[in-house]
Amino acid sequence: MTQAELVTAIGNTLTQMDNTLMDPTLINQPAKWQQVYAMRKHLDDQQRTLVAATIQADDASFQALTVQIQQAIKQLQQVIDNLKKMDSIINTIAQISADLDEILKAVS
Amino acid sequence: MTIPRQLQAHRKTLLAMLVLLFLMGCVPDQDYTPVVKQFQRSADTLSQAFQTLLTNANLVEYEHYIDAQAFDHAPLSPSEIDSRAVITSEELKLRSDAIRALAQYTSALATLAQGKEEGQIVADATAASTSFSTLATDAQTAAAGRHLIPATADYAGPISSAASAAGIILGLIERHRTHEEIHQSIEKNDPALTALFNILGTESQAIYERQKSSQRAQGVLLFTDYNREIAQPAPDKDYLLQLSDRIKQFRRNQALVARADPTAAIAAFKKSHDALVAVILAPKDAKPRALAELVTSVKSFAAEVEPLADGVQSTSSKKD
Repeated sequence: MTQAELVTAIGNTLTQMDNTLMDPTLINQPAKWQQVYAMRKHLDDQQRTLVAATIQADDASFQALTVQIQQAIKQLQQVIDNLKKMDSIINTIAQISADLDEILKAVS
Repeated sequence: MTIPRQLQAHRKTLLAMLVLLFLMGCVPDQDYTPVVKQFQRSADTLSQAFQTLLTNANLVEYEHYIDAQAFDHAPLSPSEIDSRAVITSEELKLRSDAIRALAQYTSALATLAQGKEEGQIVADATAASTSFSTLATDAQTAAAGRHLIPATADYAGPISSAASAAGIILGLIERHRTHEEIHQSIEKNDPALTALFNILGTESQAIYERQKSSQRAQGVLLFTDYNREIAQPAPDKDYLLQLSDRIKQFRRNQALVARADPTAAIAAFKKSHDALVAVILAPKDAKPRALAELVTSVKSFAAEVEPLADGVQSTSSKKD
């Protein structure tokens, strides 16, 4: 996975989160909504930092982390439409963010 | 004779004429000129659209930050807003000048391939040389100054390779060297420009993705405000109308942003450049096919760049 592909993959994840955040069902659960919104803001900041970062895409640890991120994004796609599985959605997003933090820590 | 058969007969006659002309060693200028003009127009449009896209990159980040702070009832300050910038003016100039230099270089090759009068060929080559000199200076200024995109330093290599490769080719044209010498030089040196095309394409894809994410974030805030307001015991009708107007505008902008992805246009730009080089280097018997490929490439370039220019321009002028 290249840096640009990772930026796009995070963009697609943000799109899915946005659709969830715009759903009136979740808006009417303020605590849960706030939790997902806080994660959206963090992922958004990470994407912004990622755009401006210089990353060695052929680095083994970058590739290993992006494989983990891709797997987490796949898991997220399976549950994101089901608001009853909100805990699973939140855990998966947290996993994506943690892997991104590892990538960004290596370049900062 | 039925219409499809008539068309087929016309096509065959036209193809036979083209083959004959190419076997005679010349390019029919009346067929070739519109293609080159279309390429030049599309390259100019891409250069302007790319510049607007990069200018928007900072504006979108500022507005996204202001919206988020206002939504969270958090403090705002000019310095904090400015700190959200993702590109400096030097970095912006470097990238838009890179597109312009590549476009002028490709146009100079087109004038050469067309067999235009010598004065025009030399004038276009000189203009392209000047663009590459400007670009080389931009690269030094951007690398030496404060830069927000670490990849700005990565531009030095591709720009230096592209500038020296283009300089060699354009120098031969300016010095009136033989076609054979120029062709050999193009064959040897032109591939050195690929890295510059690639870095522009990759980076623009990332910048565009950011714009999409930031624009969508506005939607989240608007829909949330609207749905929270209607859940109030006595919703404020004026506020709801205001929000519904902004939601309509947001959805219109969303459609425009979808058309503002520069990646495909930059790829089509490179493909047209490659097709033009192929026409120049093709042996006489292969020229008709190379020219047909050039026509197709330039048409796809125009098809990619026109909606892009509309989309980029509209997203910069219509904010909700």
